[in-house]
Amino acid sequence: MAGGIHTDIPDDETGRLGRFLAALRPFTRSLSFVVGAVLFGFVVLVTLLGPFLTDVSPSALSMRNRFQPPSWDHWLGTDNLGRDMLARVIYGAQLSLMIGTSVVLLNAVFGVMLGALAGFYSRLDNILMRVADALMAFPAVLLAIGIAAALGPSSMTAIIALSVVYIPRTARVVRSSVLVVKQLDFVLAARAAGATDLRIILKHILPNSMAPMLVQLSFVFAYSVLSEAVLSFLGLGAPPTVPSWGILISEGRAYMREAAWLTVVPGVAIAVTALGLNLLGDGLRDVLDPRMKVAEA
Amino acid sequence: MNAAKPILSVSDLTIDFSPGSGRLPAVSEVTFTVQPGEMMCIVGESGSGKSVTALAIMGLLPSTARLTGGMDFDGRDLTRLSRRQWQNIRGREIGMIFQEPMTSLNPVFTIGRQLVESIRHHQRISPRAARARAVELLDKVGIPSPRYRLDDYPHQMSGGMRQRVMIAIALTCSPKLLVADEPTTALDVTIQGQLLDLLNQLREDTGTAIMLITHNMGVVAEVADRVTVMYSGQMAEQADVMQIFDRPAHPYTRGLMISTPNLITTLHRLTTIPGTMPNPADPPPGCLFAPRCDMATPACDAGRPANRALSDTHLSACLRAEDLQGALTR
Repeated sequence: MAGGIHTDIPDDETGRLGRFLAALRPFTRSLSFVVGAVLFGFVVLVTLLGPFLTDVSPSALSMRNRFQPPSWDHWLGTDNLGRDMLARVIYGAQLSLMIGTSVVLLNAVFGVMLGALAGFYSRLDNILMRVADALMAFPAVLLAIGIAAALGPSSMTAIIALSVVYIPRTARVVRSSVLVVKQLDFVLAARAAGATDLRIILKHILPNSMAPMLVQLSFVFAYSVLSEAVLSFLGLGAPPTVPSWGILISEGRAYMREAAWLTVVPGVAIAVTALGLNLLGDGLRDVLDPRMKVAEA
Repeated sequence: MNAAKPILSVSDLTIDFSPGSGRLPAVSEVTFTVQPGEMMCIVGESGSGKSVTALAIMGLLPSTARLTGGMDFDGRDLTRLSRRQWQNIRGREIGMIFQEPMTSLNPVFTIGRQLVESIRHHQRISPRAARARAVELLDKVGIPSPRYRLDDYPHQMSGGMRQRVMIAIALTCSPKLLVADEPTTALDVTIQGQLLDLLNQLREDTGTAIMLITHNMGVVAEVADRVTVMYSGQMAEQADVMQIFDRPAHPYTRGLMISTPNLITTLHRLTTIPGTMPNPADPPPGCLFAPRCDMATPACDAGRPANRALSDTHLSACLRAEDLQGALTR
């Protein structure tokens, strides 16, 4: 630096990359975020690459190879009809993640929309939140079972049932942060600048309520994966021909003594996914909500 | 000041809040006009109703407020506007800047984006043209190297800078009236002076009328053309700035002036007005200022004094206005 002025300000090129890395730093500092991201990232990777990792069909029967314990040929063993468990678990992951993603997307759209409306318009607040209260009064899984039973078993049913269960919870979280943000000065300033309600909600309130929203959605993902397994286990989710994790456990249950891997393998898959997402959500909350950290310290 | 057609004329503005069953008067029978290009100051301490008056002019009163009286802006009756009409006036014809520059900008977007948004919200121009206009506006409000500062987030700027950005946003559509609610209160004195100079200069350049709300008589002395002094929701005095400072006609105005610290007379203790403002739910029967006034007579407690014209441009709500002015001239 000319004139002997020392400066730490990087020039533009490294500035952009530097800023990106600096923005990542708080995330990498949170252990639960890192572990969660690795676990969930692993599940997503295996799911996406699944068809390329194994050339065995998840539904190829082989009566000679029934109840094979884990071996070099069948890494995770085979089931009562000689089907390869590794292939079945990987294909089951596709269904779990598909349902989880759908529920999260529906939550992101409707939960956020209803939460924003309830938080922003105090007149709608009472109506929407009483309906939400009514839905939340039922235990989550019980309500999901009820809805799935009423609509008849299918993957679509599972998605609808789980969305009905979790949207009120997401709406409630969004509402509470909208209530806080709408009182802030820049919202009044935006209104004084002629902004419409829609514009204020979309441009000013929701972007500033992002943190709790992301945390909530990551938990919704975890619970959806778990609850989907429960529904499938009970025969209220995917049809038995699809290797859903819940169905795998349900089918393996009969042979738990003789072939424990039939239940352990999909069980571990569910546990890893749910644990990864929960850690991810916890980590996100630590990073995005500094007040929580102060409370812990 | 010429007595041309005022840009804003407010007459007998009365605003009540009704939380639950009660009724709290916040502003009662306030009347003033703002001429084009004029700097009109509203002075008063916290709770005197000056900010509520500003919000009323912006149509931003909370739904619990009830408003009567007249507000005429550039030939339109502000009390009868639809939601849509308000949205077209706000930001386009009346701009507003707020007290807290630190929190009045959206923290998640760059100031450039917020400026461009605001420009494109009101005018149909390309993003590129809007960006050029944003640079121009930032330059106009005195932000150095505006082209680079556009990509800054609000937290990267100081309070004074942010207030300049707020002014730039308020100026996007060259409004006819700028409502400034204590724009310099949160800033230090040096920056305060710079911003007042800026407002004054903008007024001269663009002919925008400014309604400046403040509690600081020093600010008033520096920039005002006309002054309205408010006390507990009512007008205490209204006059041209020279008249107010030369011959104040309300003891409250005088109280505000002598409780402003200055560099000339060294005092050991700052003079204050004893007591506090009356509770609006339980006002005194007569003059609202009487309980704190050293000139109060029994007549002051008998009934609420109305505003009287002492001259064409001077109004006072004090029964003893002449006595006060006489005492000060002597």
